[in-house]
Amino acid sequence: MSDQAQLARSRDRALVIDDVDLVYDNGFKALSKASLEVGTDERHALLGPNGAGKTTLFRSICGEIKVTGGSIEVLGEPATGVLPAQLVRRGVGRSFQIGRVFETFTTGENLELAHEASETWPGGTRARRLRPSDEAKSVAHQVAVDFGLANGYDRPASALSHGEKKILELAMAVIQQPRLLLLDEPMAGMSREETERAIEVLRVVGTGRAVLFTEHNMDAVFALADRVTVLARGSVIASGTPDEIRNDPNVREAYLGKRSGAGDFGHA
Amino acid sequence: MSTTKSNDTGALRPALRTAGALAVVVALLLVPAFTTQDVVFNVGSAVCAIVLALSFNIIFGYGGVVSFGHASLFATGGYVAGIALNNGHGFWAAMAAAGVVGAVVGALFALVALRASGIYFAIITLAMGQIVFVVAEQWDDVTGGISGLSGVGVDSVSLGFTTVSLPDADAYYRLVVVMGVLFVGAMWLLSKTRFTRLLRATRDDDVRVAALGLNVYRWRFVAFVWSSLFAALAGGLYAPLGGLVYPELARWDASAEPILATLLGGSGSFWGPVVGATVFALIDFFARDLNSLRVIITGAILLLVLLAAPGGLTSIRERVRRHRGKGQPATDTEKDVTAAVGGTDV
Repeated sequence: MSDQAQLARSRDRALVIDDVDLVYDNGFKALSKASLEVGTDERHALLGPNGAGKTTLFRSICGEIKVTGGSIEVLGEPATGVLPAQLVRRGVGRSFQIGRVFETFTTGENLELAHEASETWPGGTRARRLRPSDEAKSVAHQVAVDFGLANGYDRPASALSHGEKKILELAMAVIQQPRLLLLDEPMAGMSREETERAIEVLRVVGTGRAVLFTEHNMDAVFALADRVTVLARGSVIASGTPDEIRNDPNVREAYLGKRSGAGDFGHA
Repeated sequence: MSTTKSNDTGALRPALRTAGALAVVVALLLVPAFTTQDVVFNVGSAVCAIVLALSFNIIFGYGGVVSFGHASLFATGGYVAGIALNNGHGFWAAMAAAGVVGAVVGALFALVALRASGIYFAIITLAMGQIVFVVAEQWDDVTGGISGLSGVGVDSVSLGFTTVSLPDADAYYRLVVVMGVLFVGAMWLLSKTRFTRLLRATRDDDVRVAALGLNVYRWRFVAFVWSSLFAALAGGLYAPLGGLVYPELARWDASAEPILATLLGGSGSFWGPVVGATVFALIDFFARDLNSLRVIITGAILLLVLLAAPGGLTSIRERVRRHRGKGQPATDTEKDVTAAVGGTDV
C-alpha cells in the first residue's frame, strides 16, 4: 500500500490491528495473526468463546501487554510501547470488566475526578486550577443526569449496585470525551433491566466516536454493533455485519460448538 | 435526600470549630505563663512533631505510600536551619533554606524510591534516611559529628516594618506556636485542593487513576516533595527550641514516630496525625521517669487502639455517628442482591 493510501486509511480508522501475534514465553500462542479495524464512527463488537483471546487483545490495545508481532495503531499513531495513561491522554477511554470505580468517593466525586484528570492533560484547560472547579461540578452533574446516576449522587460509590458501578465507570470514560472507547464486557453481571438501560446509554455515547466492545450478551451485541469480529483460539475467524456473522457457518461451529441450534444465536 | 442536611446546626459548627481552634492556639501561647521551662520545651517539641506527622500523612494518608525515612527530612531541616543560624543568618533565611534543602533532598528520595512500590518503596526510604543519619554523624566539619550542632538560637525576627526581639526560650516558643499554626493551616489548605483529591484517588486504585490518563508517578513525586518541604520546615522550627541538633534526629527509630502518631490518630482524617502526635507527646511527658516502661505503655496503647478502631482515634467519632442510625437505605441492599443474582449471560 502506498503511503498516501495508508494515510487515508488511518484517517478514518480509530483503531487498526494488523497481524498481531502474542506468544508467551512458554510457547502458548494467545494471539495469532489477529487483524481488525474500527472506523472513527463505528461500534464494533469483539466476540469469541472463553479463552479466545478477547481480553488479551484488549489489554494489548490498552498498552498493558506487549505483543510479539504485528502492529497496533490507535487514533493514527502506533500504540505499541505506549503507557496506558498516555493512550488515555491520546483519546482512548476504557472500562474494566468489574466496574472499577473509587468506592470511598461519591458518585459525583468519581465523575469530577475523571473530568479533572482530563483537565490536567497537556493542552487541557485550566490545568493549574487549585480547588475543585464549579465547571467540573456542573459537567459531572449533567453527565450523571444523562446516565441515570443522579439518584445517589452524593452517596459513596460503594453503595451503588454492580450494574450502576459499570454505568458510572462508563460515564467516567465518556466525561473525558474519548475518540475511541474500549469496553470490556460492559454488560456483564447486570440485571435485565440494567442491561436494557446500558444498551440505550451505549447507543447514545457510541454515536460520533469509535467503540470496540466485548460482550457475551448476544441481544446487546446485535442491538449495538455496526460490525462484529469473531475470535477463536487467538485468530480472527470471521468479520462482518451482524447479519453476516449470524449466518456464518464457521462462527456457528467455533462459537456455539455443539450447543443447540442456530435459533439461540441472536434471538436469546 | 442529601439536601436535607440540617442547616441550623450546620451553620453553627464551623463557627464552633473556629472558636475551638482559636482557644487551642491561645492556650498554647499561654503555656509559658503557667508552667516550667521543661513543659514549654515539651509542648514546643510536640508542635513540631504535629507538623512532622501531618507532613508524613500527605504521602501516607493521601498518597498511600509509606515513607520510613521521614525523620531524616526533619533532621535535614534542623541541620540546615542550625547551620544558617550559627553563621549569623536570620530566622526567615534559615527557615527558607531548611525548606528548600528539605524539598530537594526529598525530591532525590522520591526519584530513587518511587521506582519501586509497596514495601520496597518503604525500605528504600529507610535506607536513604540512614544515609542522611550517617552523613550527619560523619561530616564533622559541617554537622558537628556525633555531638551535633549546639547553641542554635534565634535572637530576633524581622517582620519587615519592625523587628521583634526574642529575649528568652519562652519568646521563641511563642514563635514556634505561631509558625506551627501557619504550617498546619497551609497543609489544611493543601488537603482541600484538587491535587490532593486526585492523590487520594491514586491511593485507592492507582491503576484506575492511570486509566483516567493521570501520570501517577508525577503525582506521587510532587506529593513527596510537598511532604518533605513541611517535614524540613518542622525540623527547622525545632532546631532553635532546644538549641541542639544531633544525628539521632535522623535515625530510623525517629522515623517511626510520625508513622505511629498517624496510625494512632488515624490517617483517614486531616486531624488524625494531630491527635496521635498530641497523645504521644502526653505519654512521653507523663511517663518520662519510667524509662523503658514508657515504650511498653506506648506500644500497649497503640495496640489497643488499633485493635478496637483500626482507623485510629479519629475514626471512632465517625463510627459512633454512623451507629446512631444513619444507616444505608434498604433499597441499596436490595439493588445489590438483584445485581448479584440477575446477571444475564448467553
